[in-house]
Amino acid sequence: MEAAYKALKKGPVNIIAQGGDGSTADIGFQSISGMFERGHNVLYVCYDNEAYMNTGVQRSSFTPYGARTSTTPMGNRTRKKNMPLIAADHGIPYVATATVDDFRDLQRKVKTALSIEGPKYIHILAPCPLGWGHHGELTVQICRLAKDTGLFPIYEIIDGKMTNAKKIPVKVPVQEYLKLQGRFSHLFKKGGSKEIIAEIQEIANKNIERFNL
Amino acid sequence: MEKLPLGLVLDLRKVVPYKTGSWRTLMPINITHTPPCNNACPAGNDIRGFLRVLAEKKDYEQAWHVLTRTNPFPAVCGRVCPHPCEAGCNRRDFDEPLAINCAERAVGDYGLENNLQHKKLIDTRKEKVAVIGSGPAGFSCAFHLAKRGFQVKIFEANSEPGGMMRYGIPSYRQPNYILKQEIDNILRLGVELECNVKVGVNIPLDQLRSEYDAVFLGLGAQKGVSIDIPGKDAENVFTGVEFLKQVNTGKWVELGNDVVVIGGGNTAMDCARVAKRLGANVSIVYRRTRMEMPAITAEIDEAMEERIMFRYHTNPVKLVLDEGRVVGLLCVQMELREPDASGRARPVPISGSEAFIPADTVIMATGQAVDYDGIEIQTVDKNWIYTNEYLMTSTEGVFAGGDAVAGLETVSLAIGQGMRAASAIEDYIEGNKESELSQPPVVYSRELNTYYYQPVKRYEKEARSIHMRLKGFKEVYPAFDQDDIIVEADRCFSCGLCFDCGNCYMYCPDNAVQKSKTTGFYEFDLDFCKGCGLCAKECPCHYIQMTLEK
Repeated sequence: MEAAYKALKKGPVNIIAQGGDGSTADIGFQSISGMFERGHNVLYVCYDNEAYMNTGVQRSSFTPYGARTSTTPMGNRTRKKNMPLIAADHGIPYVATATVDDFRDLQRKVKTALSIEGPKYIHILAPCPLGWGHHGELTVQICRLAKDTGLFPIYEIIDGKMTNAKKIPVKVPVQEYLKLQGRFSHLFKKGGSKEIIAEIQEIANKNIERFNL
Repeated sequence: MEKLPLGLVLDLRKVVPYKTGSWRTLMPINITHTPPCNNACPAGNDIRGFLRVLAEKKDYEQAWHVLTRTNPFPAVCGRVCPHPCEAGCNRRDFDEPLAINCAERAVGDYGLENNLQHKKLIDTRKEKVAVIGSGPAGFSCAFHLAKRGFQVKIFEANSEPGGMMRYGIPSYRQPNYILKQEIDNILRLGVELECNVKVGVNIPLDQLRSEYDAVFLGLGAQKGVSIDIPGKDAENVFTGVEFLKQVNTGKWVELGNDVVVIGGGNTAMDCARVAKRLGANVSIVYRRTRMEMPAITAEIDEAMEERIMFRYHTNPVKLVLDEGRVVGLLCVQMELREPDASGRARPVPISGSEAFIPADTVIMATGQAVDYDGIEIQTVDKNWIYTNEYLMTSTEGVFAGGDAVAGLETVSLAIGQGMRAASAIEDYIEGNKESELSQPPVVYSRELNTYYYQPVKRYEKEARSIHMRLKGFKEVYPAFDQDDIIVEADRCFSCGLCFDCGNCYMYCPDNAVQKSKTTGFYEFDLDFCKGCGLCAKECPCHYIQMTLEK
C-alpha cells in the first residue's frame, strides 16, 4: 500500500499497520519481514495478547511458556518468540515495546515512531481478560506486574541501539503475576509443577540481566 | 515533529456503534466521599476543599473563603489547633501526613494581610439572638447566625473579647493582634458586642431569654480549680487560668526565682513557658509520666526544649508557708498501678518518700470549671452544662457549646459546636425539625490506589532558636513561605474527590468515559460501559465505585 501511495505521488502521509500477535508472529510473519527488509515507510503496531483470542484461545508463537490455551491444555511447552528483537535485527530504525497501562509512554513512543522515516515496529502487551482468565478490572495491574517481574521488558531500539530500558522500581517474583491469571492456574494446583514456575522465573531473570532492568 | 495525516481514515458517520452497555452487571458511579481529614476536624472544616484550591488554582483568596465557610478563625486555629486532621490524613500510610495546620495558618494570614471580608448569605432578618461569652464557641455561633441574617448581640464579662483565645493562650503561640483582626472581621458582619457585662450578675439570664428569640451560652471554663492541699490560699499561689490572664492583660506578676507548676495539661505547659519567659527557673510537677500527660505532644516537646524541668511521679501534699508566703512544696513520690476510670495509670503514693521542693511561686494548673455565677441550668457531673444532641440545654431556646459543654477541649471543637448550635438555633427559630447533616462514607487508605502518587517530603515549620524564643513573647514559628505551602498542598491525595487525573478516561476500553462540557467532571456513557471496573480500580482517590445495576 505504501508503494501504491508513493506511486500516486500525493505527498507524504503516515501509514500505520496494525496486527495481533498471531498475524505478526505466525501468519503474517513473512510479509512483515519483507516490509522491514524493503524499508517501507510504515509504522507496524503489534497488539500482543499472547494467543488467538478471537477464534477461541489457540496457541500462537507469542504464547508464553507454561500458559494454558485451548490447544495446549497442559501448558505451553515452547518459549515466546522475541519479535521486537527479530524486528530490530532487520536493521530498521525504530523498535519499541509498551504496555497498555502506561498510556503516556505509549503516546510518546507512537509520536517518536511517526517522526522517523522508514519501517517502525511497536510491540504492545494487551492483556485479554477472557483468554488470560483474570478479572477485567485487573488489566492495568497485570500489565504493571508483567513489567515489574521482568517478563515483559520495556525498551526502545533506535538505529540498533538499545535505549530507555525502563528500570524496575521494586522487583516482584513471577508468582505474583502468574497467580492472578487463570491460564497459569494449573501451575498452582495440586500436582502443579514447581519447575515450570522456576523456569518462568529464570526467563524473567535473564530478561532483567539482558536488558539491565 | 511534522504532523502528517493518516493514510486511510474511516468515515465515522458510516460506522454503526455497537452498544456494549447491555453486557453490564456492575455499574460505575461517582461518589464524593468524606476524606478522613474533614472527618477528624472538630470544627468541620473542608480541608480537602481548601488544599485542592491551593494546589490547583494557587488561589489563596478562594482558599480563605473555603475555610471561612465553617471557621471564622483560620489564623488562630492555624496556630493553636492540635490538628487531629493530620493524624487522620491518608498520606500517613504512604509517606508522611500533610502539614495541614501550617497551610491553614498561611491561608488565615493571607486573609488578614489582604483584608478579605466574610460574605453574608442572607441579608437581614428580624429575629434576635443573644450570645453569652465571646470565646471561640460564642463567636463561631454569632458568625454563622450573622451570616444567615440574624441580629446577634454578644455579651462579654471581660473588658476585651476573645475568651480563652484572648486570656488563656500566651502570645508566643498566638499574638493578640491576629485574634483582634479576626474578631473585627466577624463584627463587620453586623454583630454587636458589649463588653464588661456579666450575664447572671449585671443582667439576669431570664431577661435575655424573654428579650431575644434564642440564647447561646458559650461560657467556657474560666474558673481555675486548685487541688485541695494545706496552704493553697497563700498569696503567691495562682491557678493557671488566673496567672495566664494576668500576664495576657499585661500585668506584671512578681514570680521570684523558682516557679513550680502543678499539672500536665496544656494550661500547665503554657504557664510554665510563660514563667520561663518572665525569667524564672521553672519545673513542672506531675503525678504520672509523660505518657499520661493530657497536653499536646508538640507543646510538651517545646517546653522541654526551653529547658523546663519535668518532675514525674511527684504529687504535692502540702505547701510550706513562711509568714503567709509559700516557700516550697512537700511532695511525695508516686508509683503507677492499674488504670483508673479515665484509662490512665492510677498513681499511688510510696510512703516515706516525701521530699521538699523550694518555690517562690506555685501555679496550679490542675483543672478548670465553669463559672456559673448567677446562671441556673441543669448540669452533668455538677460541672458541665447538660445539652441534648442539638446542643439545646434543659431550658427551651437556650443553647450551649464550647468548653462549658464538652469539658476541657480545643478551640477547634468550640468553633465546631458554635457552628452546630447556630444551625440548631436557626432550625429552632424557623420551627423546622432539627436535621443532622448526613455525611458520605469516609475513605481510608486501603481504598486508594497509591500507585499514581509520588513520595514528597513534608513541609516542616521552622521554630525560632531557643534563646531567641526565651527573650520575649515573639511567636515561636515565624510566617511561612506561601510558595512552599502550595507545594505542600499539592501533596494532598484529594481522597474521595476527582482531581482530574484522567485515568478513567484513558483506561476505559469502551470510550465510555466522557468529560462533561457543563461541569468539567468525567461522566459515564452507560450505553457503552460494560462494567469491567477498570476505572474504579485505577481511580487513585476512590471517587469511582462499582455498584449493582439498578
